[in-house]
Amino acid sequence: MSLLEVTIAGVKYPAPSFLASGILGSSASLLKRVLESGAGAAVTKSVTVNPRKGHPNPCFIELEVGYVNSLGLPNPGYLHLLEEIKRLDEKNRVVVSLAGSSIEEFTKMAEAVEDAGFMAVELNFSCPHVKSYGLELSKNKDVLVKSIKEIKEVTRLKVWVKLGLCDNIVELAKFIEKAGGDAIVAINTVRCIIIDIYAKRPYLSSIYGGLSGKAIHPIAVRCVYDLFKEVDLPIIGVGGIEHWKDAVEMLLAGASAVQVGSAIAKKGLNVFTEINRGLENYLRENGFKSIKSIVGLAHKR
Amino acid sequence: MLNIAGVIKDIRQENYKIKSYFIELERKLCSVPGQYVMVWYPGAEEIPISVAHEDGRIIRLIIAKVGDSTSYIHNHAKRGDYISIRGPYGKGFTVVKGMKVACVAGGYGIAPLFYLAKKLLEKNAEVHIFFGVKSKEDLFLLEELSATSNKLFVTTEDGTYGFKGLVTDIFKQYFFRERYDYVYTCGPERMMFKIVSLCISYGVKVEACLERYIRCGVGLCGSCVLDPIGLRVCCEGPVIKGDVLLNTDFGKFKRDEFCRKVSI
Repeated sequence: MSLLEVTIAGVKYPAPSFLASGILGSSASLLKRVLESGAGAAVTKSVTVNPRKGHPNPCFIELEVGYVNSLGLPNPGYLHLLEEIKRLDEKNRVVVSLAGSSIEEFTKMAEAVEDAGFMAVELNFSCPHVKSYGLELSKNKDVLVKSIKEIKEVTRLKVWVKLGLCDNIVELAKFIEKAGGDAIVAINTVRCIIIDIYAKRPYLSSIYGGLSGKAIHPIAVRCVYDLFKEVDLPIIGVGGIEHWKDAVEMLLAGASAVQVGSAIAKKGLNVFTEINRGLENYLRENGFKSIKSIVGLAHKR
Repeated sequence: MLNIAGVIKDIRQENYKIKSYFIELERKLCSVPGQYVMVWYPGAEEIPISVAHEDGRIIRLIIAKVGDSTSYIHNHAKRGDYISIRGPYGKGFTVVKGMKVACVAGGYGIAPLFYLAKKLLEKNAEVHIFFGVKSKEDLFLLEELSATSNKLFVTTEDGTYGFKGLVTDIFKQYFFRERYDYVYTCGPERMMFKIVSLCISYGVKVEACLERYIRCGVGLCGSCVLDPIGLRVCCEGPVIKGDVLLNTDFGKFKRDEFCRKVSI
């Protein structure tokens, strides 16, 4: 067994650095390239039942400390994306992100994902800039719980649920655990506003956006740390991971794997191999036999 | 934010649907020909525009009125107005030294090639520009183009100015006669496809500057992907070498705002 192999909800992945949803994941060609670049798994861009154009530009901006986007879930619709990506070779390493606005939508899309031959879905309960989806929907516990239950009942899919920064993230995670979810992914971009001081108005067309990158890393680590204390489900840590040290920090806080997104802008697709190598060296130098052996280690002080 | 604040210093009407905007930036852009900037004129959508020239803190953007955002800019932007720029983004053209080169442009695709030609002349290249448009009224920039090239060939499809015919056909005639070392092209994709195919089949190096649906500009969102190799045009392009392009959907398909493949 490779030092880097991880198992999330019974599914093995060759490395613990995954591609985060929303980044590059709406074409088969890029998903393939990401997997070939060393990512253990790749989560697709979220799909919705109907095609969405997303928000008009400007919907992206670079900051000193990260990035803000409000793409607005652009996607060709779940059937279209599944048709394109079902020909991928390593389907067990591709996780399909679903952005439903109701229990029925989540369930309908999940069934199609299983039919297309994939093993896992990530439910988007965290997108911070689209009305009636994501973060807004996570406030409706009924939808959250029943969507998971329903998918678990009608499919054999592994269900990851992606949560965003909110006061009750631990409480939501407990609901997810009780409902039969298989993993918690935390966190999404953090809801924010950028104002153009010369135009004297919000820069993004949708006003609100999501902050990613370096700036949110300590916040994400805190969320993962808190979640690890309270829930037994595997946690996948996301938020500002640019360097292998950021990944180690996340694992020590309690993540079983990490997802990388924004860092690709600066480092390119090599970022996965870079993180994997750094993790491998860290494990060897510190005498650990597996990724699993450092998960949550920061809690045993 | 890392955007660069700009003020419109001057606007020049180039022809009935093209204007040049001279924008003074708060700091130098430091672009190379072929790179683009994301331009936001408040009220319009943010759009990618090739840099047509850079001199100190002044950049020139040549904007054709082709859609809602460009129409809005044409109708509203005036001297003194604020404009926000982010970039420069992407990979530009290779500026070769001392070679005999051809720049083949279709329509407003001339903008980055105009910038390139200036840089090539500085590197002692012999520069031939081929500029094709539909009709005489679509022409612009001619005086400046002749000043930044050793030879300028102008073509119109209807023959109202210069050579009559497609720029690809005129170029083909000179391609065999002039034996260029390096070819650059920018314009409608089917036109570029012909140029690239011709050059590659005769072993001549060629680079093309692509137009795609661009959102982030930094290689994160995937809106601009070129299949099947998964090349991100926004940061691994927009200038791409011909031998790479011929193994892709170049000239055949692109992705729309929904990320669906559509014919070109």
